[in-house]
Amino acid sequence: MNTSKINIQDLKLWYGTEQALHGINLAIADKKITAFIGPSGCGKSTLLRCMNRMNDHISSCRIEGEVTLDDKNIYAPDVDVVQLRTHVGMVFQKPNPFPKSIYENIAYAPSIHGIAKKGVEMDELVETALKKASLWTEVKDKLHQSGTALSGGQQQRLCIARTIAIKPDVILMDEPCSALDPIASAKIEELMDELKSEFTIIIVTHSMQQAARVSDNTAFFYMGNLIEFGETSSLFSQPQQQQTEDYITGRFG
Amino acid sequence: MPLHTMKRFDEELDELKTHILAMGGLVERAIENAVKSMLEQNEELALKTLERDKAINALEVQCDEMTREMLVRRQPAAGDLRFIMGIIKLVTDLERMGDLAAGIAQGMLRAEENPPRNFSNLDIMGEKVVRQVNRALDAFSRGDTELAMLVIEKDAGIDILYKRMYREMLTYMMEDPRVIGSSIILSNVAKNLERIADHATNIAEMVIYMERGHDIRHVDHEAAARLLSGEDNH
Amino acid sequence: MPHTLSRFDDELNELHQLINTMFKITRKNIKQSLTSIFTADSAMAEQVIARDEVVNALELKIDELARTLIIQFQPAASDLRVVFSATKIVTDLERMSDLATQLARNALNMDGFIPRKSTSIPVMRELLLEQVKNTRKAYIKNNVQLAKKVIEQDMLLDDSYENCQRVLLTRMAEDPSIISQSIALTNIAKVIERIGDHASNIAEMIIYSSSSHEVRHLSIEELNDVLEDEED
Repeated sequence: MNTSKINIQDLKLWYGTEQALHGINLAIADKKITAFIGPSGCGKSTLLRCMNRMNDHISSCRIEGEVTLDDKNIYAPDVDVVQLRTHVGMVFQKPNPFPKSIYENIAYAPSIHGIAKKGVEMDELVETALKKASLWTEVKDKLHQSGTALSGGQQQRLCIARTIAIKPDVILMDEPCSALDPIASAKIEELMDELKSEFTIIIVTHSMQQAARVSDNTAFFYMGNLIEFGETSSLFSQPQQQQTEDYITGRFG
Repeated sequence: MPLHTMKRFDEELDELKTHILAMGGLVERAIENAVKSMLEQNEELALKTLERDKAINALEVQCDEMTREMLVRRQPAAGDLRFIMGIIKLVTDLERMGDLAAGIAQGMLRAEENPPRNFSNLDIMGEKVVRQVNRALDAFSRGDTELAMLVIEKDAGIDILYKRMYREMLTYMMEDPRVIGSSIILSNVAKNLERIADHATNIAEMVIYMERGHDIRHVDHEAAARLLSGEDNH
Repeated sequence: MPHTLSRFDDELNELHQLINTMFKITRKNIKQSLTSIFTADSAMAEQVIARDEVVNALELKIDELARTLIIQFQPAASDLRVVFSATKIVTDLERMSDLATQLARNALNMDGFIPRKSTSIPVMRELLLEQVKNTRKAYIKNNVQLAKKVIEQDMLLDDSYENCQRVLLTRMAEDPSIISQSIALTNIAKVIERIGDHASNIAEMIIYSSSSHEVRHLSIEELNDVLEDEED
């Protein structure tokens, strides 16, 4: 496996008294797609949200252990969470564009973070982001129409473009295709394949088939434990753990 | 054929095809060399052919791994699935052809002490069988069902050549018991060639299945030809 | 453990049943084809030839079912190994029955000539039938050790073929008048040996399917090494 971008060490997480993650150790490879799979409630989404500190908003949530991004602990006291999220972007299950124009959807965050100046520089950034998200040809003539008027698949690609625009290192995707039809999903999968040359991608998915298709590495979780982690091709053809075998062959879950 | 949304899948399908053609190339050369080693009583060439069979075996295992990985990761359907299932069958044929070529090389080594004085039509049969194999691989490479049908039709000619050679060997043995050993070896070599041609026919049948979706195994040739000429498309 | 989708279990079960049937008919064909040769029983030979059609049909049916399983359930891990092996196994079974049919055709063409039983062919026949029986058992029981035994038995069969060929060769040299008959016997021995090879191929796929070890093209020593930690 390549050099790791994110290192998770003995990560434990509680919601109140209930422990949701039991000492997870995991190294996420740089510029690869890592998939998190497992039945509902296995902790995969919780873990994903730890990687840009989304769980901070939940008051009952308590975390132990370390998550390092490029060897820096993102839970260190001096870390600016807003700054962290410019490095670790997130795409959600339901596409959630702002009720603004396509252009503004993308330009909003870069202008706040001072990544690009208004005018030509921002125009270029918007175009590049839309191109990388394979949306440019479809929307280039209607950049000032509302983002919410696009189809579901287009909205999701707009959200990906918006994430790319702030030039993150890591893109987290939480069930990015679950609200999309098969063709729109296929487009997102193809897009992920292109994006991985530039970004480290982590995807949580309910679809084992999707994990098998798109990811380089797969982590299988069950009841807050990491059961197995390895190259996708070997995990799906020759899992080392019986629980993984049972899950991917549809014997439970 | 239109490309897939998943570009990588297309690349993998291409890779698989290249892999099979590389394996086919090795098999073709193995048959040629094995027959040549017998005709020229070239021990070195026979040994080399035996050694090279290992590469063919390794390619078989690799290819099976590739197809399984694609089944798991790409969830192929329709034509893609037919292609992959076809490859799973076809790779076995190629490996067995390699084995049979190795068997011929072994025959050469056995016959060394008492080599055949007369090779009958081994040269012609060898050429014809190699051409059958070559046609089958071409048909696979181009997805050419007409060429595949030709392979199937021409197999009967190879069977006749074999039977003729077998009878000839039998008469030699009866005339002169001293050539019994070498004649048996030679008729086994001819048998191996005949079996190689059968495998070429299997490949041709798989090509038709992959391209057109008709499983013509165990269907007689005329019925197969009728199927392919479109009489079934009503 | 059963699958959450019971339909998948049903279809896997059907796959196993069909292969089991194919095994049974194939073994019967092998047995009867050899008997028909040694008893000049042409009616029995005809039955073998007719029954081969059933084996052919089963091959096509099983391949189709395997494809359906892949499309509908996208099997992974051990499930995929089972389906994948099935598609390989049926090819060998079909060839075995084909070879039996060839023997049956031989029986019809022997013009009343009944081979002497003094050759090692009856021994080969017993070895082969035992080997084929074990192959089916290994398949049904998913038994790696039994499959390994099939591979070992195939080596015995190969030896006994070599032996048979040598004996026949000597006899022919001594008495040229029996050349034609002896060659016919060599051919029978060769077909038995080939059927054994196919059983051995099947055994390799059974080992792969149940243990995920790829053992094709391994020597017996390498095979033993690989399976050492598989004692069950």
